[in-house]
Amino acid sequence: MSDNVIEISLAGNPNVGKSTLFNSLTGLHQHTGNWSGKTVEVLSGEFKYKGQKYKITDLPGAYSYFATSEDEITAGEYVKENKNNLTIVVCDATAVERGLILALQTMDICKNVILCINLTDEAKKKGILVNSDLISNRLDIPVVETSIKDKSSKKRLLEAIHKSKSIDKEASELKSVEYYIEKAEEICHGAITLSKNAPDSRDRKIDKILLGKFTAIPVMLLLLCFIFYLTITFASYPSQWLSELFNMILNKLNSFLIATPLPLWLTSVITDGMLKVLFWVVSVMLPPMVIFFPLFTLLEDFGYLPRVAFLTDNSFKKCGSCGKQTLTMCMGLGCTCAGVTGCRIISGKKERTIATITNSLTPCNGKFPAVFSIITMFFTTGAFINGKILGSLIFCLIILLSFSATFLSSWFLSKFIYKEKNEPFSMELPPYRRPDIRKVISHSIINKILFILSRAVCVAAPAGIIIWILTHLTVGDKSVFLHITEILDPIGQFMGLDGTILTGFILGFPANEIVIPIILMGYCAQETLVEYSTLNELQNLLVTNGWNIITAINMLIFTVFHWPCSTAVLTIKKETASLKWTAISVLVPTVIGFSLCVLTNYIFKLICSLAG
Amino acid sequence: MKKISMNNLPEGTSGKIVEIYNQKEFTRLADFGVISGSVIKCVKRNKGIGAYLIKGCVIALRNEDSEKITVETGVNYE
Repeated sequence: MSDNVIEISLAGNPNVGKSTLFNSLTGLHQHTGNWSGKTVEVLSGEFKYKGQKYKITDLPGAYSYFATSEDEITAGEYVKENKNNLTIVVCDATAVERGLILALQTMDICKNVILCINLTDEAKKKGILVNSDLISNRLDIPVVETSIKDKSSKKRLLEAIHKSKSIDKEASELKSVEYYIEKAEEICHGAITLSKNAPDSRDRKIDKILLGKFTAIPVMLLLLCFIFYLTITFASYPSQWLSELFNMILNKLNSFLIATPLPLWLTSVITDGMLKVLFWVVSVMLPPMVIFFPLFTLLEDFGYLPRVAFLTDNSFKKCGSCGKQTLTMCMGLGCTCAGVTGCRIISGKKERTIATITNSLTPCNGKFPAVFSIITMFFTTGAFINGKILGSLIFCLIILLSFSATFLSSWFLSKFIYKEKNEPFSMELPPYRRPDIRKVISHSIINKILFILSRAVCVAAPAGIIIWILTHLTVGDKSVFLHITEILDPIGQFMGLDGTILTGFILGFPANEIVIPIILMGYCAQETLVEYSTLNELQNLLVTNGWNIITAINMLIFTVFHWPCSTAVLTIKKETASLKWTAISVLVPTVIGFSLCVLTNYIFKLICSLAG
Repeated sequence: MKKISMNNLPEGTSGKIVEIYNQKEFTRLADFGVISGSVIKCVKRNKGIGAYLIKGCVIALRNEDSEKITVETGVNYE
């Protein structure tokens, strides 16, 4: 048993199931980290086999090392820097020839390479037969066939890793890309046979519907509405149940703490301050996100999202960007930071910058629950349409509004601020794959729950304490919070909101999920422990404090369009390495939000005065 | 057998790439296998963009980029 750790690099084309392989080898023993002083983070994990410890690093997907996008440059540099690592190149069994282009380049750089041909079950379904022994002979390296359906393939891969040896050879320079294409073709000649005529026929049939001239956009809108409808329907009961549970816990804890010798103000900090905000964030955020994101991940795994990029590329091109922005916007639905980091898949500098700056216009995890709550409170009691359908339609409207804002600002940025030419655009449309529903749902749900809980503890709880201090600490005759609120009230009223709401947004800069709790605490500060556990009671509280329909509408608008949260700003600064672009990314959503609110407020007042 | 630019390749037809006007700009495309001599089939056309089957994979290329690639059509490619 050796005490040293053997290092493995995991490379391969995008969309070949590399990450799934990585997950199955490392389980939960994963962590991101900076590598050799570079600012790019890579995902590493550990596992043990036959007494030997291994550390494996999952590299971004790359088509070759003659890269043009950030992700691929990262992969290439890592492989070159760690050329003494055992490097596993993963390829898709339905596209071996293409995957070999990267494998051959890797073999020129590294001394120890294993080729892993993944997704063999998909290839069999399409009638593609791969003779991996022949390929192994021709390449003179071990070749392992793997598939999630084949349980023994993991063992085979581990055995190959265990037995792998470095070849004693000189590392050579990379040759021309044509050389690798021709060599790949040579190696695959006779090693890949087709038992069916058109292996891609199933994909083309699906494309006919999803990319069809008249069916594409309706299908896209329907899918989006359907996901929102499911989310609204299945999130409301767990949300209610959770808030009732937390309320009960809070009451019990409160009475318990009051009976102890702890000073009353400390009890209040804990229950009214920290825990109330924490519980709010969990009960309001958890259910919708736990439903929305697994559904979205299923769509992603299926292979639909690049089709959306394909359909929207033309529109984005006119705005100076490209279809891949749809993908980064989708990532931004989870967290703006993820969306901004995801812009690395866009090769053109202009397109990437525009996508980065406009990413916060897509509502993120922290904003969804606020949007859902307001829609549920003010817009789902429709007299003519079923409440939930009305709610999902309004949600779609908001998403469409956010899309339009993204298009318009991208166009504006490319016309007046970033005037370079468009870069060439190319993207792969991967084969459709049947997602492993059970795995996706369990992985996604667990990840989301952990993420939200950690955010709640790290951001919401401390924020709750701070807000409690601000609402209870008095300067003169008023609390600090009230001072701030009164200063901001004129601007707030001008926008159709009020000072408390604006204070909520400003103090909510650390994280979007605490905006509504802050506003609520602001309203409650004058009264003692007002119950707002159910949305009904919540609505009463808001209406008592002067909310009307235009407040709700503008609240929705400003929730979606205001400055990015602190982590987003930091990530944008890191990715763009420019104060100028970071400042613009803060300005764009704020200006849009402010102008829209002022406009709708004005129109509303106009209608009211005309109506009498 | 005739030569047309790739953005004019009708949906469902195949062609063989004979010339790429600006190879330097197309390092990325070369990674996908888009080089002289490759057989390519147009599987979908949409406004301003096309999807092409090459080496068993489908890639999307904008018309102004595929305009710079000449393909030869009219022969039955495998």
